Amino acid sequence: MNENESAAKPRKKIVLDSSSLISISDNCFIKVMKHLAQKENISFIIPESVYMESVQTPARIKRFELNAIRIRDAVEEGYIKVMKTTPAMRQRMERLERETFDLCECDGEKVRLLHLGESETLALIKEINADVLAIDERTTRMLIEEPQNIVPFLQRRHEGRVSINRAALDSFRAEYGGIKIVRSVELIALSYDDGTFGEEIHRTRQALEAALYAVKFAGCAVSFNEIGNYLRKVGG
Amino acid sequence: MDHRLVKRLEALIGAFEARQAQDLKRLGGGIIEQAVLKNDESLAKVSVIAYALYKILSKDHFVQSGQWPKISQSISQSLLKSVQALEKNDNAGFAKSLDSAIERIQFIDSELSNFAKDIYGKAKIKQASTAYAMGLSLSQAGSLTGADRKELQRYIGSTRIHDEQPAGLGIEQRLRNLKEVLRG
Repeated sequence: MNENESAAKPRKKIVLDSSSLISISDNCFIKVMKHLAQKENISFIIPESVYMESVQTPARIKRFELNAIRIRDAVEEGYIKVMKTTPAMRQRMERLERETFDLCECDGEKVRLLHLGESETLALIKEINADVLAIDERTTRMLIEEPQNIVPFLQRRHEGRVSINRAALDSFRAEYGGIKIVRSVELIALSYDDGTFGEEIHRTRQALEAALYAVKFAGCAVSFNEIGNYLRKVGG
Repeated sequence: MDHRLVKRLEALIGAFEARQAQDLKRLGGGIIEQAVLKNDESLAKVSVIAYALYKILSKDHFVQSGQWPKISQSISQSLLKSVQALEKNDNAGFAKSLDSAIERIQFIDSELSNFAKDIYGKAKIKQASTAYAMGLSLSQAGSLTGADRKELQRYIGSTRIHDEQPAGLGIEQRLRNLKEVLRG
């Protein structure tokens, strides 16, 4: 896609959860997002709380300061946008909080799977009608994409009897089930595919492999098998 | 009074005083599971203490230090006080005693560590990663244990947790879906 084609199409909105932002920025790939934003006509958007968590708090800690500066620069340059939490979002978050708390029980005890941070990201997607959610975290992704697997997944890890509240699950799925999800590995793969990867590092298969493993080791929920399978398709 | 928590704390104190490091590790694992199910930050804290004490007992330079008898006694006393507070339904006293035990763990860590420090911080990350493996989201696991969210994510990235439950859609399919959204 050339620049003119890209400008003619409506800008697509990708909401970034803090997990993806951490994986990408930790590995110095944040400029890849700048190139992707330009080439693919994407707006990357984060909720206000993710900005606070990723920039304002770590900027005061020497160990995390550099990464905080990278993200702050991205926001100042405008290829990552910060969205304030609106009253409507807050209402949605409260509803989500109740619904997700009602989702799962183990031996009659309700298990709180999600936190306010993830709820805010989901609320933002709905609020701005975003096209895609980038999330490296596993549990939220499973709830959205494969809620039928939540019970067997939890059952393998808990001795007690795990059950799911069908009504709460149906309500959650009706609202959030259709969200399209990518992880930082797919953003890296996209940048390799469209050539923007080469603006940061030589566009070689070895560099792609290294980049995919780097975000895995930074906490992206992707398996060795998945990366191996993908690399075999890429060839080279 | 939470009888189960009292029993767990008593077991923890017993294992610590008997220098049974592996028992402490096992206890910590059992307690974090309860903390996950009950969304109970106090239980999570007890689990982190158990794990931190396991790490301390595993290191000779701690337990062979001249300061060890006094410090280990003060940790035991703080934990005993937390049990007594629980038995009196004194929640504030319970929290204060646990915090006192944590302060002593952090003290011994800063005084006697050779190189690697922050045993308590690392114990939080370890127990939070167990909570994540049990199904909590990253933020919820971090919030329950007080672990730093970023450190937790990095630690989980270094484990095999994400290899145990592969995502339904692989990279190729997700990339195809993403291109469809972006390019129509």
